[in-house]
Amino acid sequence: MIAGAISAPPTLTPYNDDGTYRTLAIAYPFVATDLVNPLNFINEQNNQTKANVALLNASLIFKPIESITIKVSGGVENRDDRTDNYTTRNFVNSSGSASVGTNQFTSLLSENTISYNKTFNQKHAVSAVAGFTYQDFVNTALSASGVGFLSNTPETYDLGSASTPGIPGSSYTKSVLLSYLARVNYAYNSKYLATVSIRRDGSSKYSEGNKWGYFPSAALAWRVSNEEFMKDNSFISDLKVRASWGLTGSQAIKEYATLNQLYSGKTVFGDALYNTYGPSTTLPGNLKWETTEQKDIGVDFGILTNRILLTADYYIKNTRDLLNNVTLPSSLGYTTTIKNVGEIQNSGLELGIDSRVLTGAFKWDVNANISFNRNKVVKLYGGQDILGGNINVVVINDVTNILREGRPLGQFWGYIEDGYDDKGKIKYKDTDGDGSITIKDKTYIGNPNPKYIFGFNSTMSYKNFDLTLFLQGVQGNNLFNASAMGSTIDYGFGLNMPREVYLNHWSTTNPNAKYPIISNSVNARVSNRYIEDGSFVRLKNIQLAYNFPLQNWGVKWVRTVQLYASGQNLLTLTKYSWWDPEVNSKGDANSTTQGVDSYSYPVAKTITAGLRVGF
Amino acid sequence: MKKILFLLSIIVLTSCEKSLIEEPKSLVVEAFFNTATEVETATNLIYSPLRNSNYSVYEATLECQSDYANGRGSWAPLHVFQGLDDANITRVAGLWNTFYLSIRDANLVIKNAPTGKSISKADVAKYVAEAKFMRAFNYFQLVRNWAGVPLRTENNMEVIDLKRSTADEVYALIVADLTEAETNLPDNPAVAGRPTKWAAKTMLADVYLQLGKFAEARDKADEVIKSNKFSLVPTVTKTDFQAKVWGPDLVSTTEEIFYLKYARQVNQGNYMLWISNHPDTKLFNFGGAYVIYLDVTSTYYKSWNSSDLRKGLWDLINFGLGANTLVSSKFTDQLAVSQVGAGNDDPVYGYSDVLLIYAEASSRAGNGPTESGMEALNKVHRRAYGKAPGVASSIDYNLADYNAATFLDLVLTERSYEFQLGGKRWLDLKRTGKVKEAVLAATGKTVADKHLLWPIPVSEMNYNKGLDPTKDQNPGY
Repeated sequence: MIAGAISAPPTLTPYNDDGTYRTLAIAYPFVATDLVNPLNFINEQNNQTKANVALLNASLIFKPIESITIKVSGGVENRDDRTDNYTTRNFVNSSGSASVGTNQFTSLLSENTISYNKTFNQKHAVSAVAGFTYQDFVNTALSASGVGFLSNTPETYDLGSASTPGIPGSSYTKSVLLSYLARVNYAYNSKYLATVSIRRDGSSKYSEGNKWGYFPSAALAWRVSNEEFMKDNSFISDLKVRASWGLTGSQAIKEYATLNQLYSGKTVFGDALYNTYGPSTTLPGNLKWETTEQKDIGVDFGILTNRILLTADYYIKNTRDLLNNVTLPSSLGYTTTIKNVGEIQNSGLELGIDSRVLTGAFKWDVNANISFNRNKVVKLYGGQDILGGNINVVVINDVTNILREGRPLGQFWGYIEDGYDDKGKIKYKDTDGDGSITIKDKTYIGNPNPKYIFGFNSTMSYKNFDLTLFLQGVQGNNLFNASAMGSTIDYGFGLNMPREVYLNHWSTTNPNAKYPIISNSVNARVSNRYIEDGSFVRLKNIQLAYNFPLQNWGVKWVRTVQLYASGQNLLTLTKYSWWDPEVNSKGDANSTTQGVDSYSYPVAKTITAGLRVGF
Repeated sequence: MKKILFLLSIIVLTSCEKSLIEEPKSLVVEAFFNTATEVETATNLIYSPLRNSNYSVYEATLECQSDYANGRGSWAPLHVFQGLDDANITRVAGLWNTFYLSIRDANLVIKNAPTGKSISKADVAKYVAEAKFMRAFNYFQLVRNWAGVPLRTENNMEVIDLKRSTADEVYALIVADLTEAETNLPDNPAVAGRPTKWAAKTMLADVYLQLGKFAEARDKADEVIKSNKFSLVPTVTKTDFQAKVWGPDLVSTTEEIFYLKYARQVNQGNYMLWISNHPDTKLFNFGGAYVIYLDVTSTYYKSWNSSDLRKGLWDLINFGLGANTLVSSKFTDQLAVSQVGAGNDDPVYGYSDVLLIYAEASSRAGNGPTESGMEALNKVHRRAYGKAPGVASSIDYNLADYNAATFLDLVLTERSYEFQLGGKRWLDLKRTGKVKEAVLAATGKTVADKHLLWPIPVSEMNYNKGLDPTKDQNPGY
């Protein structure tokens, strides 16, 4: 819909004279025929999901003697949802199509622990826990569909009346996580604190023989402010020095990722459907736990009876057996596989301050934090580069980043532009000097990792008024603007473009223009053209509230009544040219592809006003 | 009591550990390929990547490169003949992926079927032959458009880095696969759409024609003709062509040899209807992209005899490029269920192809056209004029009027009329060495050398270390 809204030629009206939707695809001989009038999506399509979520926990606690606790607890998490999609008969070329899908997710958790808790001589505090846990995750799904309806009235509620019923689908997945754990805490006189723990985790997702991982950890802390020599210091109210070391495991892969599963499908012989069975295009791998070793030292510092609290942490995280998707040559038939590819390192510094600035009738609390993280690829098995972040738009079909030893994670990778040739086509640098532009000319074109990120919270209150605001910022990172490709460089379909393309494209009188010559054949590549500064500061939230003085009025049956107005994302300061610098279209925060903006849905600015009543 | 508790906890723990063994409710490769039915469903998968709209895109891409047809929108640069632009590089990359996915599915059958536990030797031979037929089919498309390619067989299907084989090596595999298919495929298809030994002989004839082995091509085509299993569907009007030859309601016809089969099911229909039709004609109820068009003032169209019913399958439609544009109505379906839901089959190899291969090969194997070759051509020609295919007619071409060169042109022109939207013209012009001359004559454009082959896609070059990006890429890319 967004693509339709952006690309629709502004020279056309949305409706024909008779009130029907204008068919954009036949308006001009050059227009892309899959361009759909965006009003179709708004008015003639209906998607909704309803979910019932239930959480249930119960535990049995048994104390055979004072210092020992046996706890057996169980939990059930359940989510049932149903999604209905209906496209009306008024949608372009539609005879009505409906689909219904349901999902049932159930997770059972059983935790069984025995703990020991005792303080000896009022100085030696010892606590210990041992136990095992079991958790499973079961997903089942069912879907049905149909096309060709006599009327829009039944919507998705009479699939049986479809003239062509779709093929029903159903699925099942299950994964299990088992853990044995033991932990001992020891504190001497609330001054010296030590924790040692070990867990042995088993995940069904890993290959036979690699299902189990051991994850020990240890931590030491010294509360300096509890020492005798600090007792009389009225300036420093709290001082604690911490150090820790530990291993953690990640099982961020899908169930059955190591099995050679077959998938069913349909094909046609004669005039009838026949079954097909075969593997998907993902080649299963032999996989083991991804393990992160983290070392951390930190200090907590409070002054003026903790009116100002400072924290500082320095950490080094080494992740080995990193799980990552690896693309395969397409002649293999399989396009990707998942592998334990190598080792990466993250290290950084985190600083925080929490302060009660004003404490009188006018109260002001401020909380701010800043963190600096650096990462690099330490080792890749076989030393082989791993390419990632596939972009597949009409004019460009290539990767955007590379994993290479010694380089940061998510390193952008592509060609360097070198102006235009005498016909206005983009030229690229022949970096290896072999006389032709090949993939050997690709180089480092940007880094998606920020130099630092920060946040700022402020809460002010005066009498019955509260004002809170939250700012967030990212500095020094690059974004790869893949969203711009279709809308600024692909001139083949005569789609609507930003004004700038018209005003600043190559011509004999403007040979150094921002955009190349307008032509239906472009020679676009993944290049530094799409790399932009992604730094931004955003006012994520601001809220002004008034609390009614209920106590003064003697109202007892209502606890609080608050009138408020708030705004989200009202202000963003950035140089980024597209909609939203806060994007990550490809994968989550743990993905090795970061900072790619590929037709992401922009965040909304919202303004809310309301009344909150608490009983 | 304590002992019992201890034992109980051991039992609980070991049963828990067993819960880490994954038991999906789906089949796995290791336990498959054991019965004839299992092998058959694996064989069926070989067709899916091709049928899944991709083979229609392939035909349209080739069609836009032909001398007589223009491409519209993103397809227009194909008809500029200066090499592919980015949009079309991406498009043919998708085709490369399609052919290789189908090859993988064929290799799975060829590798695994022979070790099946409860399948007869005859069934193994039959399904392996079908898989090899389809593997050859895919490589035949690859080698003609990319020249030599990495040769993936059942023996190296999991090797990631694989060098580029020569075109000769690819053709050797194609001929070997088709020779085995010709022996082991059945005489009659179990169901329309499965290849027979006649389909294998037809494709082999086409491969031999491509390789310039005209006597072998003639003999293979002749075997199919002599089998008397196939005949052209008679026609009287252009609607007979639309309904009885290529119609959406047909399950099969007497001229079907190897067709990709489509049905009126969501995403199981023929995508060519969307590619070729124009919404104004309402001949396809989901509109159309009118990708391919002809010019009514072109020499090609003007010299086409108006008594030829096939000429009537081009309708004059002014879609914005002036009043002279013609859009095809070869494939029509007004009861399709979705954009990829039309019932018309894709006539990849029909009996007219066998007749025209025979006509050309019999002439080129000797010193000029033969009587039987001329008769084969005339059968196709008569049917297109609404005459009985097997009965001599006043519109017949006469043997005496043609020599080797003019007869070749006559056959090639007949092929261009008969196989429109089939993507055969560009490949015919390339294989006969006439491509530059024909395109220059028809359009005034010079074909750049780089336009003669498609580029090996980035999805291969980036990840196959067996390829050298400088040396192994096709010229000009």
